[in-house]
Amino acid sequence: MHANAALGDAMAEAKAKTVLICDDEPYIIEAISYLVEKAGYHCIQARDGAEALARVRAERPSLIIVDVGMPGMTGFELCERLRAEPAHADVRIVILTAFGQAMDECKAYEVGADVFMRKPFSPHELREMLHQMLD
Amino acid sequence: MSLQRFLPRQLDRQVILLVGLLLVIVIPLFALHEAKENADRVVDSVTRQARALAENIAVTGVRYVIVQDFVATEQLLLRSARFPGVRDIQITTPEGRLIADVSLDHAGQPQLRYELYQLVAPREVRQQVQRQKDFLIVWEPVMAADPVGWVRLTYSLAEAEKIARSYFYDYLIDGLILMGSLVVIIALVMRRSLRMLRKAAAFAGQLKDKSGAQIEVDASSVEIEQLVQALNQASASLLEQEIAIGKALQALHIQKAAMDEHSIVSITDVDGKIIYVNQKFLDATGYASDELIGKKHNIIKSDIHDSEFFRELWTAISSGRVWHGEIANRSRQGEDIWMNTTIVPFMDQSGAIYEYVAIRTDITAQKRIEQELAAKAEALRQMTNGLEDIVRQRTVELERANAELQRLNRIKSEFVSVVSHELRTPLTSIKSFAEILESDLGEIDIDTQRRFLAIIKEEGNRLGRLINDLLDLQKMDAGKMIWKDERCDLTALLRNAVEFFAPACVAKGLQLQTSLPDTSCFVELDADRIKQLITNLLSNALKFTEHGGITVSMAVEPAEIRVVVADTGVGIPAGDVGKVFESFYQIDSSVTRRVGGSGLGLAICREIVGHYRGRIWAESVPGQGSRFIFTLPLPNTNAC
Repeated sequence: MHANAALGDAMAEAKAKTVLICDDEPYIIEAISYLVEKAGYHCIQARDGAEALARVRAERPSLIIVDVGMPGMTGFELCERLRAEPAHADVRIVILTAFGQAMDECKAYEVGADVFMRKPFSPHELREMLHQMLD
Repeated sequence: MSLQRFLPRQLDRQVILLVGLLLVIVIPLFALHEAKENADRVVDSVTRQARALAENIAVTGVRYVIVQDFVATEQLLLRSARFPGVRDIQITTPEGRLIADVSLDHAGQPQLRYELYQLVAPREVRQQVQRQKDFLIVWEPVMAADPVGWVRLTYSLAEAEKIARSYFYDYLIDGLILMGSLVVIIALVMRRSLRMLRKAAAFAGQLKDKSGAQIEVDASSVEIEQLVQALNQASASLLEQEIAIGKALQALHIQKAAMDEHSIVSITDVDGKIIYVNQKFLDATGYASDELIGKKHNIIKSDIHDSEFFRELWTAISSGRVWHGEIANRSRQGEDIWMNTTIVPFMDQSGAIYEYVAIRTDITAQKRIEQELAAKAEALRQMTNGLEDIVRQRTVELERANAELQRLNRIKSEFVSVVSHELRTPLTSIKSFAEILESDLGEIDIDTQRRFLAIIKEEGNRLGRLINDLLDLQKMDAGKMIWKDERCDLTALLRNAVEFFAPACVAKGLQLQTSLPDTSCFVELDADRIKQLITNLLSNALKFTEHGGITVSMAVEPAEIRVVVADTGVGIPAGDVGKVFESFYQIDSSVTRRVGGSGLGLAICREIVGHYRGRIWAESVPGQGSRFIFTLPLPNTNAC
């Protein structure tokens, strides 16, 4: 655990807002987690769609930041399946992808995402998004 | 009938002859009759004169007789005898005895005669006239109280005869004059008619000239007028007919000439014997006219048509129908001539056919063209079919090519998308951690800082490799790669590469085996590229193999070198064996991520092998391992 993780935990308790990060790139998960926790949210991780789905059902996060190109289930599929479940109808979903074409953005909103973000992103941009979605 | 033989031939002479004959008979009879009547009247008159004279002599002489004065009696007689016509005078007694007798002498002078002869007096006492041939005897009684004698007067009828004769001649002459006049008049009257008739006859004789001439109607008689008018009409009609016939003939001639100009014409009799052929017929068939005339028309028959064909033709024309059709005839030289033929049967007024006229057009050239056209059309049809096949094939090929192009296009845009994704992914990490370090440097402990920097470096390397691979692939694909071919030992190249991977295999617990030739094998190659090829294959084998080992073998065959890189890894799903050489093909991204790699390695291998005209392919049993095989063709100067 890093030093700032303890601060994150404290803030998470206060705010009780959990963010799930789903990506197959471990370094990217690490970077986002750092930024989410620094912003004061509780952060959980998943390396693929199946894992994300299980954790969402179990831990009911407020926000999901999901990659698109993942082995097994794509981010779009994950999004669709979550939106198909009434229990998760109100979860905020952010699609964060290195596929940055307009078609991908359209597809994202089509499958029920709330926000579409492109990689690479800036930490500032991510923070703004988190506040907008969660506060 | 026989009478006519004696008659003159000319009508006027006949008439004149008959009239003449009639008059010759009638006129003398008439003259005779008239002369006789006149003579009788003269005799009567003479008789009356004689009787009156006799009475006068009797009345005058009675007293001389009574007194018997003979001299006075004689004187009376002499005087009386001077009356014309008196031939002699006697006075007799009632018994007939002569008292005085006077007669004319030869000179016509009265003379007393004294001959004594007894006359036979009439029994009745009254005047009596005795008519003799050419004289009269008048007995006149000389009366006193009683008859005292007779006067006997002999009176000559010669004068009466003479008068009667002169009448006869007069009548005869008048009659002859009349007859002559009549003949002349008849001749004159008839002359006009006859002249007209002769003119008409001559005109009728000229009708055959069909000149249409008219003669003036000199109407001497209704019949002749009618005749002449009829002749005029006939003449005019004949001329009209002649003109009409002439025009018709001319038209016919023109038509025939025209037909002869255009058509091949022949005419046969009802039995099919040729009676006429025109020049075109001769030109077309090559026969001379005398070779054909009188011959059966089948002399030009070809063997193209069957007997049924000719049977139908004959049935048609012999029943009076026109026949149209195409017949192949045979020329004298034995060539078949196709003729478009019309045969027209010609019939007389009773409907019997007397000849057949055949009009033909040579269509041999046309037929030949038709046949050629048909052949060409057939050829064209076949060609078209061929073309259609080709077009169909081409269409299929084009569709395939188009589909391939679309696929390539899709691959290209997918490639761009994937490339951009692959570039952004490490860039995201680099940028994120760099920004985190920048903004939070004071808050982050030193180990975390080092870790973040290590990530940045690693992801930087990943980005660099990716860019290099991309550039290599792009250069090879675009043919812009510079190949530094040189003589190099392939065996050594392989061995070095294998040795390079040895530590990694040891670290992963894998066996690395080789089956390489003992000798060197020199080939003209770009050593760096071959190293890249082998490295990529070994790198893949290492990535996807968790247990077992990797074997690299090389075999030199007559025409090529064969290299196999075999592993005991995860293998490739059956459907994907062909796709592994495509850019960014990854069976399972999680494996790729875990083991790293750009996703372009096999694509680069394919380009390198392809450049040297070799082949590369994969064989795999999923779960048991994969074999990647490539070949490189050996030049004739085999240096292995």
